[in-house]
Amino acid sequence: MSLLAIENVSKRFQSSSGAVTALDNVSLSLDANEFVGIVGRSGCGKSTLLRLIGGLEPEFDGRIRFEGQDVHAPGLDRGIVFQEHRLFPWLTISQNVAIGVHEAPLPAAEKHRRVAENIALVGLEGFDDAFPHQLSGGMLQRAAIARALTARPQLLLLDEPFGALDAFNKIYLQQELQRIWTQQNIPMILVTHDLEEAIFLCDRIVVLSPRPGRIQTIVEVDVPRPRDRTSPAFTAIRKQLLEELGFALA
Amino acid sequence: MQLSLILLPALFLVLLAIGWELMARSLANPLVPHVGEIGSELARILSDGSFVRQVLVTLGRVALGFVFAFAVSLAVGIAMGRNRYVRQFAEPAVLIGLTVPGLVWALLCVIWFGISLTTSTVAVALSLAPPLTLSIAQGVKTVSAELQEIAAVYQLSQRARLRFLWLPTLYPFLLNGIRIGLSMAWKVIVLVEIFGLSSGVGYRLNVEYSSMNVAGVLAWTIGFAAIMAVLEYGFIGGLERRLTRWRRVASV
Repeated sequence: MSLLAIENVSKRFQSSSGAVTALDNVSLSLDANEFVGIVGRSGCGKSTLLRLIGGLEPEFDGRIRFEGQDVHAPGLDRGIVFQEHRLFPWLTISQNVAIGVHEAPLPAAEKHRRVAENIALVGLEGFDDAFPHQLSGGMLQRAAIARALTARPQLLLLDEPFGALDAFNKIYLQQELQRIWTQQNIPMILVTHDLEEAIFLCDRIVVLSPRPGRIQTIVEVDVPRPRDRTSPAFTAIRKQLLEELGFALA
Repeated sequence: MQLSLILLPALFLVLLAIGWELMARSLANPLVPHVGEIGSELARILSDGSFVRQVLVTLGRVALGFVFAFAVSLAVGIAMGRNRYVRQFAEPAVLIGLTVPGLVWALLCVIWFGISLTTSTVAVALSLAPPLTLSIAQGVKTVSAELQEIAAVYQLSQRARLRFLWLPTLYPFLLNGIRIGLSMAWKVIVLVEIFGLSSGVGYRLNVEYSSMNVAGVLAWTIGFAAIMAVLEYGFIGGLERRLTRWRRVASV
């Protein structure tokens, strides 16, 4: 049985100009240790799909099951990282990371150990006592990832996590995320509008078509890791994705 | 910079005293006492202990009214900020509270409750609660929806949400409301004491006024204002510096 099963999921939003169908009859499943990307033009409902899996949108049609259980609320088993770091500005980095285990039934020493371990995992040692406004955007996203991992989720959801970073920081953090994925054996779903990012990281890339959001195709990335962004196999997948998204190449 | 922080306000006070003295000498009127007379009056009330005694009475009354106002404002303010209907219902009460002059509250409370602790408590609470409630209600609206999602994702308990999200967001609004509220409370408590009570700074002001002792009125006013300034800058300012320490840590 798959870790995550999305069956015939549709989501409508009420707006002033009537109902908008964000997702239409989407079905998808995810196996343990998989890295799945979701790409599509803006407004295709890719973030909505991620929020549904995270349990942040309780009303929808269809069925989402995670480890066999129906999803309709957030849970510590599904970690989520947003485009904005969403750290508490008045808490230090280690206090923010500790939010991930605040409600966990663990002894204080164990919580402390996990916080330190995950701060080290994302390479933020020495910044434990810094406040968020003292750090750069890339460091804050790393802290957000550490907070999510500290809760030891069974699945990590990433909603354009590097979308607001500059090109160099982005490439660096993509490599870091790949390292974390390999080390931690944790399945991830990455929503992004950066095709290169998706091809670099993912096993499968789901292409969503906009209005209403439907699965157009799923592209397998059958390239051994670590992937060379300039290799012919990499560019070929990039070309295929661009064509799927409606950008005809000359 | 630290030196100018003390020197410039001190320079203003010295110039004020010199200006006053010049005015008193040129007018030569018993209703405009010399700086020396005011000073000796101040020294008298300080040395015979009456100043400290009366100020403590007045501060106690303000504190009691403050506790009531704070409890009510926190409950009403949070409810108003979170629920549209509560806000629409309670908004007129807050607006009326803000517009009615403190003098009216003081008069009404003396008429209704006479010479009792109820008078001062109710009058102070009535003048403090509206600005405090308004400030809290506005603060609740600024609680970040994104951070509320984070609280939901990590399954934070109500207590943890209060500690990590609600209170840190509300601190600046609470302090601002307390500041405005206290500045109103001082005025009201002095009026209540003038009209209806037989102790406190307001009562002493009334006594000095009745005996046409202008130096006495000024001495009590100066002393009381000094205490208020210490409370405002020392206590509330100190609290503010502590609670917003995270903002001023230098960037790396």
